[in-house]
Amino acid sequence: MAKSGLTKDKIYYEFDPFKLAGVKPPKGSIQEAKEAIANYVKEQVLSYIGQGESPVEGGDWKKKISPEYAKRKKELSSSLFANMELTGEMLDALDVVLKQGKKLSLQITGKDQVAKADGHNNFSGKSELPERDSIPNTKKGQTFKDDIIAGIRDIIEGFEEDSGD
Amino acid sequence: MGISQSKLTAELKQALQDQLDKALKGVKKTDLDDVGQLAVDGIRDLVAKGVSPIEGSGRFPAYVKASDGGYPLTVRKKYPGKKPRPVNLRLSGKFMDEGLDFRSNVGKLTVDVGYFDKDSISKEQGHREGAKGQAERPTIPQGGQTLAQTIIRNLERQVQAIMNKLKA
Repeated sequence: MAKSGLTKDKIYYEFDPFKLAGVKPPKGSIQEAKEAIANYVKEQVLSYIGQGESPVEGGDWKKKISPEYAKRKKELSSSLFANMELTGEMLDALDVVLKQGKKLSLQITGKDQVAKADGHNNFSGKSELPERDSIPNTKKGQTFKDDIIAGIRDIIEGFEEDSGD
Repeated sequence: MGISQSKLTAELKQALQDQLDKALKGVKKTDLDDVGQLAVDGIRDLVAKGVSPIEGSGRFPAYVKASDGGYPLTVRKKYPGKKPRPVNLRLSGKFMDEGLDFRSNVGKLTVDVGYFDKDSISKEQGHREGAKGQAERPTIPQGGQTLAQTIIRNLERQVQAIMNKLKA
């Protein structure tokens, strides 16, 4: 079962990609499949965020930024919409890591970056910033967008074909 | 007189190969061009967001010394739109918009994706090797590398669509 969480050093969504996609793990190549899926999920999450959209199914994302923030952001970025990138440090801290067994974890680590990430994901329930969901929150029943899950399924099925089963 | 299992397997393999060869003769240049364009679009899309199009590479590293007045702030007079973020390899736009291209060969059933003019080849090398003290930011897979999973997924779907069309 997937779970989300927030600690001082980590905000995360831990999930079993095989269960999520509703496909059996490929025999003998679970690790390779996990690595490919981790790369894919990271690319997809960064890609959605980069175009100012949530990678979370039904997730909130206010694309417009305030005029005050736009003025500040203009100095550092050519993207004048909400793409979670001012200095870039928070997105540099985003990763999808392999966990034990079949699980993966989409996470942002490091105290300062977690604080920024929670500002928009509001796992703590204490943020007053506009909500922009970049990490699924299982307490809200969230997961990835359907097309991300479809891509995960494609990758797993590709491994099955490769193994000749 | 019976036929041996190995001979039967060999004959079936040959029959399947013959069918495949025959089907592949139906591939048109426009089919390969669609695959090439999809690869180019996929690379451009990720790079525009500061994400490497090489599998497992994540985000492009920050421009070195950008916070200390280094590049790209050093070129802001000529290119006022260029900012430290995203790290999108875009200055004039020529490198990604015009330089990145593809060449398809229907005889060999291949699509080459890359840079084909002298200026872009030189820029690609600079990004790949990290010229002028910058970090390495390759945009075309080398050696054992491959394109990002996101791009591969789209290419596989496109190839499958071509195969389905040939079967129909």
